[in-house]
Formats: sequence, structure tokens, C-alpha cells
Amino acid sequence: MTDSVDPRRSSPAAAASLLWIGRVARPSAALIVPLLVLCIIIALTGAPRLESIMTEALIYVVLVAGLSIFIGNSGIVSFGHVTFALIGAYASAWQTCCGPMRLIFMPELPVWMATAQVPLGLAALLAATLAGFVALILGVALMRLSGTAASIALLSVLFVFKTAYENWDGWTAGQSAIVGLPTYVTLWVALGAAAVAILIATLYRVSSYGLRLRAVREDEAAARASGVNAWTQKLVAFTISGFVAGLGGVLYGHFLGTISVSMFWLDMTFLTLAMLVVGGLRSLTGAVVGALFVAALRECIQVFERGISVGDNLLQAPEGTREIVLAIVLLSILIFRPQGLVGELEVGERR
Amino acid sequence: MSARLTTQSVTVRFHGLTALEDVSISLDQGEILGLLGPNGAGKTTLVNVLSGFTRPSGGTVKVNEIDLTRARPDVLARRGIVRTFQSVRLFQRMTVRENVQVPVFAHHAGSVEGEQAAQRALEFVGLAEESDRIAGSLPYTQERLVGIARALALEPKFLMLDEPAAGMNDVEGAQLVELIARIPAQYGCGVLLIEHNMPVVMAVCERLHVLRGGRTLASGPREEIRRNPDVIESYLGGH
Ligand SMILES: Nc1ncnc2c1ncn2[C@@H]1O[C@H](COP(=O)(O)OP(=O)(O)OP(=O)(O)O)[C@@H](O)[C@H]1O
Ligand SMILES: [Mg+2]
Repeated sequence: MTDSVDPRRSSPAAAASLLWIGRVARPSAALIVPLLVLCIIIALTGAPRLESIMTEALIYVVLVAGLSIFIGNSGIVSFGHVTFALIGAYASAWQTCCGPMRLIFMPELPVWMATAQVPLGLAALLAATLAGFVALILGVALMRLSGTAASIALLSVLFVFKTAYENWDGWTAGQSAIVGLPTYVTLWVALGAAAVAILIATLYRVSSYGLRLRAVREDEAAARASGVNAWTQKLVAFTISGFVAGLGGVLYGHFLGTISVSMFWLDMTFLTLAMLVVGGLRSLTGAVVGALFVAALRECIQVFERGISVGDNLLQAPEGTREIVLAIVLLSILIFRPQGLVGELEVGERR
Repeated sequence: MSARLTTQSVTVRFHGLTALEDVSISLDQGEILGLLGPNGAGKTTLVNVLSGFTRPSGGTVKVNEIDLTRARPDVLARRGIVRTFQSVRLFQRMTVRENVQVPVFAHHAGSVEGEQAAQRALEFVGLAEESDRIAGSLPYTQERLVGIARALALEPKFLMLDEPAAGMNDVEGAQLVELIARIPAQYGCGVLLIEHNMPVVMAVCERLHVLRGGRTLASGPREEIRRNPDVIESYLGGH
């Protein structure tokens, strides 16, 4: 290869890069545009309750897309990704929380951090990067594992970090909540973040890295015989998915305006995994569809839990119905449609 | 410069069982070497050693003077020491093209040259038309051909084919053999061919290596092997 540009080469190369842009843009747009339309419709109705439901659902889209980058391509079910949401949420709080109250919640923060006013967007980026970095460090050891062993090791990561954050009082307020985070996560911010997450996941999926990790998922020995370093490929996906999950955690904190360690625990683990399984474990479309479907389902049940009046009677489902119905839906999907609602389908992708 | 893949006194023990004992072979770029032996003779085990999947208990694997005994399978594959599997092992839920792109990307990620190498390998085995099919939906014979294309896409220096014609009928087997015979000229690599069908082996392999019970029974040019009384008695006799 020489440095000079060979005119005969440039046209197939240009054609190839155009093709590649199409391979990213089409499936991303096929997911983002419907979300945009949905948001516009909801904004036009002007119902604040609906808007906040959709905002939360979009945050789950970010979390589940992050999960899907790793689980979908590696085939390893991770019970530990909520760890990265936890790390992201707290890292953003360190940078942006609650003015002078920050040192009261987190008295051991170094002075420069306690007084810093980091712009919200930058703070989110830094927080998600920290989550991705922690994923990278953990992954160096954990990505040597495969299958069930990896799943269990990832669950133990969640336990370790929960315990650590609950006892790291000076930085995390321990078991109590941190309140007063700037609540900048509107419908449009959440939509933008979901679009970014979808774009990252699609870029990864159509890249040669995604392809090689799926080869490892299908048959690790055959992938290695094809020159694929399984550990490297898992580590790349784990790091990227840690970043996106971290972003999801940041958004969640700034949506509610308050965070506590217990928010990022088994409930969220189960919910995000349920969303992915319901939609389709191996598909990003499945991740998005599953997140929206389960979020909508939960909302409907919650309406019943609060009670609806039919004529003179108040129909009310008992507290906890939400979890039970969700479990039933999950079980039915696992039994009757184990590939999830969309299966292997990716919208906007030609096979 | 033409390279040579060798094992020197390779021994493999699984718990009490000795699968290979003191086996030395050599494979030159450009030749087809037949590896023969009854079931359980240690043929696959030898391929596992050569491709880095099994660490030998003793002995060495070398390319020219470079010791590769402890190299990982993926490193060996990228260095051009490539194997197929007796049980094929395709990436089932991926398309035929993607199956063949995986090894290509292990070399040169996403480049135009890479796409071309994948395309060339598919055309060579005659499956360019099927490239958008899901690998898991292919009939058995085509599955085996994809396995070979996937190996060829790495542009190997040494290619080890573990019973590539197993389960094929005579016509398909003959076509495959004709294809294998063209590999050294097309790809410039040495081929180690494990195959039970004696006429096939005698037709395409100039040199043969015969294993029995994990030991070398005979090794040399095919005329010599054909006349070797040990081989005739223990292996050819039955056929
Ligand atoms: N991983 C393993 N653990 C224990 N024993 C093994 C292992 N792999 C192979 N063996 C044993 O080593 C011996 C050689 O097996 P190998 O698969 O190499 O034979 P082969 O010549 O390829 O036979 P075939 O024609 O049936 O494919 C057999 O006795 C087999 O049972
Ligand atoms: Mg065998």
C-alpha cells in the first residue's frame, strides 16, 4: 500500500462507505422516527402525565439498549448491568447536585468536585464514561468467563457495588437518598438520549466488532478457529454497553430528581431484563419494542391499582398486581414465544 | 518463501488415556497430505494440537523454526494455520456471507479487500448464490462447503480439513475432492486432509501419514503406503 490516493481505488471505497452509512442510518432511523412521531403526538395531547410516562419509557429504552449491546451480541445474560446505571447516576450527582446541599449529602467529596458546576450535558457524558471505564476494568477479568458462569459473576458485581455504595457514606449518602438533582430530563431530552443509544447500538451491531462477537455467541470454538479473540470482543461490547447503561442511570436520576442506591437494585434488574426478553433478546428492535411495551403495560396496571370507577363502584387491583402481571407476561412469552415479540427481526435492515 | 508446518514427537494424554504418542509430521505449503487412521486413532486430536485447541503433554509444533506449541487458536488462525471441524460448527443464526466475513474481519476490519476475500471464498466453493441464506437452514452438503469457505477466507498457509466429505454421497464427495485438489494452486497453501475413503485419498494426496492407536503406523509417498504391509493388514485390509 502506498500513501498516494489511487483514483481507481477511491470509487469502490467511497461506495463502500456510503453503503456502510446506509447500513447504520436505515435501521437507526426506522427505530428513532417512530419514537419521534410518538413523542410529537404525546406532546400535542398536552397531557403532562402521559408525557412523564413516555419520558420514563424512553429512559428505559436507553437502559435496555445498553443491555442489548452486550446480551444481544454475546448471548451472555447479564444480571449486573444496573451497576453501571448506579455508577452513572451517582457520578452525575457528584458534579451537578443541589448547590450548597451537595457537601451535606456527600461530605467527603474533594473540594474541587464539591464546588464544581459542570454543565449538565458534559456531566452526563463524564458520568457515563466513568461507567464505561468501570465496565472495562471489570471486564478484563469477567470476560474470560462464558455462559452461566459469566451471568452469575455479573450478578455478584451488582451485589458488591450495592454494598460498597451503601457504605460509602461520604460520597453516596449511604442508604439515604440524595434529593434536589436538577430535573432537566424532559420528553425531548429523553428522546435525544434514546436516539443516541439506538445509534450507538446500531453502529456497534453492524460493525465488524458486532459481527465477530455474534460469531462467538453462535459458537465460541469456531469463532476462535476463525481468528476471533473472544475475550477482546466481549470486552469491547461490555465497555460500550456499560457506557450506555451509565447514561441511562444519569437520565433516571435527573428525571426523578432524586437517587438512592436501592433504586438500582433487583427491581430494575428484573424490569430491564424482562423488557429485553419480551421484545427479543437478540435484537435491538426487540429492546426498544420490549421497553415500550412493558412500560405501557406497567402503567395500565398501575391505573387499576389506583382504582377506576365503573358506575358507582371503584374497581381496584391490590398493591403488587404490577409485579405479578409482569411476571405472568414474562412467563407466557418465555413459554409461547421464547424468541420475544420481534424475534430476530431488525427493522430497516435488509438481510 | 515456502513454509513448513511440523510437529515433533507430539504426545497427548487425557487422564489415563494416551490419544497421541510421539507423532511427528510435516506439511509443506502447496502439497496435500492425507491423514489416515481408524476411528479413535487420534486424527482429530492431532488437528486440535496443530490449531492450538489442545496443548500437547510433550513435543512441539513449529512453522519453519518458530515455535507455536503454546499459541492460542485465534492467533494461529490469524497466522494462517486454519482448521475445519469434523462437525462443521457454522454460526447457525448468521447468513452464509456473515459466516465467511467473520474470519476476514479478524484480519482486515471492514475493508474493501476483506469483502473481496469473502466473496472469492464463496465463489470458490460455488456458494455465492446462497450468500444471503441463514447458515442453519442449509442442507448438509452446503453446510460443509461453507465451513471450507470460512476457513479459506482466512487465506491460510496451512489448511486442515477434518473429514470434509463425511456424510456426503459419492457424487458430492467426488465433487468436493475435485475442489480440494484445486486449493493448493488457488490459495498457495498446504492441505492436511483427513478422509476415510481410500480411493479418494489415493487420488489427491501425494503423501500420506497413517495413525493407529495414537502412534504413527506409516508415513511417506502414496505408492509406498499402498504397498506397506502394516497398512494393508491393519487398515486397508478391511476395505
Ligand atoms: N477431550 C478429550 N478427552 C478425553 N479423551 C479424548 C478427548 N478427545 C479425544 N479423546 C480420545 O482420544 C482418542 C483419539 O480421538 P480422536 O477424536 O482424535 O480420533 P479420530 O482419529 O479423530 O477418530 P474419528 O475417526 O472417530 O474422528 C479417542 O480414544 C478419544 O476418545
Ligand atoms: Mg476425528
